[in-house]
Amino acid sequence: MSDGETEMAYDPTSMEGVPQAGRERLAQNKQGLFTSDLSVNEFLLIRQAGFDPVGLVVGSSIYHIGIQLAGWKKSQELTVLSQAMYEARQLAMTRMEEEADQLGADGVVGVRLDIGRYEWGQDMAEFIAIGTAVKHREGILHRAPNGRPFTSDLSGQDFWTLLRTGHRPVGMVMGSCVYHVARRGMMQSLGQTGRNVELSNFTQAFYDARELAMERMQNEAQELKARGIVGVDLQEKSHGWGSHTIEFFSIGTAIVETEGHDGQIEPPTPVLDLSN
Amino acid sequence: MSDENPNLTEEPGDESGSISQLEAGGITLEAARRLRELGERGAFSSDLSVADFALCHQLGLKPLSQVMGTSVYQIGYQAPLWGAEGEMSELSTISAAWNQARDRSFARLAQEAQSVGASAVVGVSVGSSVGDWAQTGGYGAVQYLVTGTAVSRSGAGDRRDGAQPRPVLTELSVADYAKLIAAGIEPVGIVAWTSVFFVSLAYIRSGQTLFGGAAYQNFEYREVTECFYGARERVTAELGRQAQALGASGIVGVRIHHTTRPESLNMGPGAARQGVVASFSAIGTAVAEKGRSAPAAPQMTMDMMASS
Repeated sequence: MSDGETEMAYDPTSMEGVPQAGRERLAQNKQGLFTSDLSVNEFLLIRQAGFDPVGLVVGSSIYHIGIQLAGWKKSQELTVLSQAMYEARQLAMTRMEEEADQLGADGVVGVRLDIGRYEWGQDMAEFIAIGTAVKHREGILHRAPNGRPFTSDLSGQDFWTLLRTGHRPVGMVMGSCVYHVARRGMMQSLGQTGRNVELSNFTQAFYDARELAMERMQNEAQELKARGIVGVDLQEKSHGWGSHTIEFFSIGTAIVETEGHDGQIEPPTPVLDLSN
Repeated sequence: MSDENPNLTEEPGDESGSISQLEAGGITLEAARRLRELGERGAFSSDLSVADFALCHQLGLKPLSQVMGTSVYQIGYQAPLWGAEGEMSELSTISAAWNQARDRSFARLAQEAQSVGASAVVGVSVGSSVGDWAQTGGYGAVQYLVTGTAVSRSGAGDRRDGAQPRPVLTELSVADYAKLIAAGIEPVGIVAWTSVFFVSLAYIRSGQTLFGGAAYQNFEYREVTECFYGARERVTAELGRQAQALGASGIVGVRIHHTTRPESLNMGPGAARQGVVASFSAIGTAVAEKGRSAPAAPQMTMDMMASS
């Protein structure tokens, strides 16, 4: 699995692949004009939390997924597919982080990681990461422990709420595993014909895929020295790879405790909306 | 993110050991190992939203781990029903398959929660699907999948007299859980049941019209109504029995799913009976009153942005 790994170097000054118009946009952002995809409510809440948006940042990668043949009767991870998901994501995220770094941002909020697969390109995956770079107004550094801007898929509302609880985001963490579920053997099928019985090899395949995905997510959080993972989106999907291929995909935001913050919050007030 | 890239190496698992664990209704060895190690590593995982997390934080609930329970279950052959025309009976094999798949999933969810020392599982989402896993004919297979977040509750820790506490499963969102706790009402567990009934009615077939005098009349398909009632009564009776066993004073947050559809039931080679299948399933959270604090009255608000 380790051969053919290409770790993209992190270079905060890299303008690689950014077209002329993009360079002008970043130069404009540096001079103080911000762009964002925040709603008005999000914008105000981010301001209230003591941050200013500095610019819309984007990273993308169109990736070719190699071919892997799965054994008919073997439950196994499709490592080529899993690795493709990881590398494409990493390319897109790193490019976005570099853009944010050039704007002197502390981090990126509201990251949308869109993963597109197309009818016309069975072997293609498109990763696009879009978010709004933000910077703390008083200059208190909020970057991740590795010195890069933090990333999070938190909305402005979630970002505000999280800060109130005495935690801050450090990075998006992902766990993904593409898994091939074996067909059952003929003898096994015959032995179970017509009976109410758990198909334990299928149950096990789901567990294995999920274990691999969760373990990877936890390891990523650990590398960021995170306290925990919130805002998790957990999906089990098949990506059009045939009904015996499943993907376990979970993505969330790793958080740490804010130093010198007691994290006490008021009990929320129940409200009843009388609008309708 | 690291130099070696996210640990895409797979250590060879003990597959046969995991299978025998599953057959005994347990969880796989890998899952058990990861959950054991979770405490040592310090970081929690969850499937909480930030709002959920903030509520947990406010309530003093400490998230421990995302937990899951799943079961892929084959529905066996339903023995032919020889009841008289218009007489309903339960398709017991199909009911049992759904109930066992669900029970196994929740038992696994509870085991995972217990192995991280949780006192409750919150924010549980339940999904089920009918898959094409078994090409053995019959009624195919179902998959039941439940996920949630195991939490420990400060203050509830003193319950640890001797044995590990049994985590309380809920089927509630974190917000609903928080509201119940604030009102002095304690969730005590999940109650759920599925029941599938069949009534033989030769004249019912999708698309078939009635001939003769009956076609001109308004009338109730009384047998079908009764069949539906049969399934419903069976489910509600079972929920009540389960809630009582948990020492509950009531059941809240019940979600009901039901279908009624015409179907032809296999009666052996070349023979089939036309009729209607009514299935009814319900899942909810049993609660018990602990304190006597009345729920806080909500503040009334009006959205000035509402259109029209």
